[in-house]
Order: sequence, then C-alpha cells, then structure tokens
Amino acid sequence: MLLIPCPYCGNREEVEFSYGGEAHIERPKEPERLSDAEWADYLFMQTNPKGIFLERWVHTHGCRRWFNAARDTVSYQILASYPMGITPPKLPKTTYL
Amino acid sequence: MAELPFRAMVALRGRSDDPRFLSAVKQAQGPDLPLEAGLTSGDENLRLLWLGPDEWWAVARDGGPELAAKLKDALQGVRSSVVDVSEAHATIEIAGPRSRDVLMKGCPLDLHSRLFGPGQCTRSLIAKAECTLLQLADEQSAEAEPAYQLIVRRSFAEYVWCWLEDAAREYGVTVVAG
Repeated sequence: MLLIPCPYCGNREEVEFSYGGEAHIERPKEPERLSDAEWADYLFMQTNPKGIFLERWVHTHGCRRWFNAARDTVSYQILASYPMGITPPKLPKTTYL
Repeated sequence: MAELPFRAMVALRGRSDDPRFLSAVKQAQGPDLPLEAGLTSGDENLRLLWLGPDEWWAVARDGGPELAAKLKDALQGVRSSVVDVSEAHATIEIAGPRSRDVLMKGCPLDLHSRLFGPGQCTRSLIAKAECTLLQLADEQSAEAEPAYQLIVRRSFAEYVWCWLEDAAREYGVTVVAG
C-alpha cells in the first residue's frame, strides 16, 4: 500500500486514488494528419523507465482532482506531487544498474 | 447510532480566488466558506464542508431546494455551479467513546485526533463505499466521545448502516432516533 501525497489533501492511502498513466504526453496538434502508426504511438506507447517516472493520479475518493506525481519505479517512493499544468520539480537523478 | 433523515445537501462549485464568489456565498448563507483542505464552518443548522479546491457542500437540517434557490439567486452572474444533491444521499450519525474505533475498522484514513479532529471533514471510503465523513465540532467532549456524520449515497445507505451496526456490535451499540 502506497501513501500518496495529494497536493490538495495531504497523505492518503492508495485505495482512494486511481492511476492515469504517464504524465506530460502532449496531444498531437494536427491529429487529422497523423498516420496510424503515429496515433498508436501517441495512444499506447509510454516510456518505461527504471527510476523516476512522472505519472498522473486522480484522488477519486477524495477531492476528485487530477495531479502529477514523480515516482521511483524501483523503490516505489513518491518523490514529489504537483498540480496539473505545472512544470515538474527538479529531482535528483537516480541511477540503477 | 442514528439516521438523520431528509437532510439538505447542496453541492457548490466556484473559484476560491474570486472575491465576488466568496462574498456572494457569505451573503447568502452566513458562515464563511472554509478555504483550507478538510475544514468545515458553520453549525448544525447550516454547515459548509470543504471537499476540493473548488468544491464545497452546504449541509442543513432540511430544505434542500430552498437552500439551492437562495444560493443560485445570490450567485447570479458569478461563475459557479449550485446543485441540490439532498435526494441522492443519506446521513448516518455515529457517536460515543468507541465510535472512532468502529470507523477505523473500515476507513483508510487515520482518524486519530492528532490528524482528524472536531470540525474536520473529508471524502473517503467506509467499508469500500464512498462517503463524506465529518467530525462534529460542537460536541462538548470531542476527545472522549467523538461524534461523526457519514454522508453516503442512498443506494449504499443500507449496506453502510448494516456494516456499521455489525462493526459496532462488540462495543455495544444502540440505535436512536435521528
């Protein structure tokens, strides 16, 4: 069970949240010009880093707001959470073998 | 433990950084809108609950449509939303020296008085059902005998009631009229 820091409500248990996948994926500016492969890339292909991953969460059973969080995919430690529309905070680089 | 029937709940949305919105709400209702996470204002006659950065509930003993109409009138021309949600919800009150233990059996929140005290509210889960939980502030002995109100969707009300009654059985629970 993760203790997730909601930027509005503070630390809450993971059951109150839903996951939203990778954050900061920009919607294509001209979707009608995209090829199928490019669409598929936009919709389905997400990075899968070992280390810090910026991802979206929603506090479903709480304030019902979406926000972004930086989670280390190795330790599951959540290093920061910040409201939508804000540039992610600078975080120390983690290196794993 | 008691059911408080036919209570009024009005969902209110608006921008907390809009002074026109804040003053209009204050004019219509009396108590100030709580602007900090998880706080309530007002009393049993009319209570305002903070539920999100731009979302509040006004909870009163009765008269949901009248309360919604009053707010709508006051907020005319101000960017906001007022919805009467009284009919969708049921209110259960649970009070007593062990009420906190009962709730903590099925709630992911830490309800210890250090973190969740009188006059605080939040949306969370009770026995996996979504609920709005608030601890009453006007109780004389909030530490020894905390009193809580649980607002659940009415389709969950029977389930939550039965769950609470069962969870409270070991402490000796009595059902009283609301």
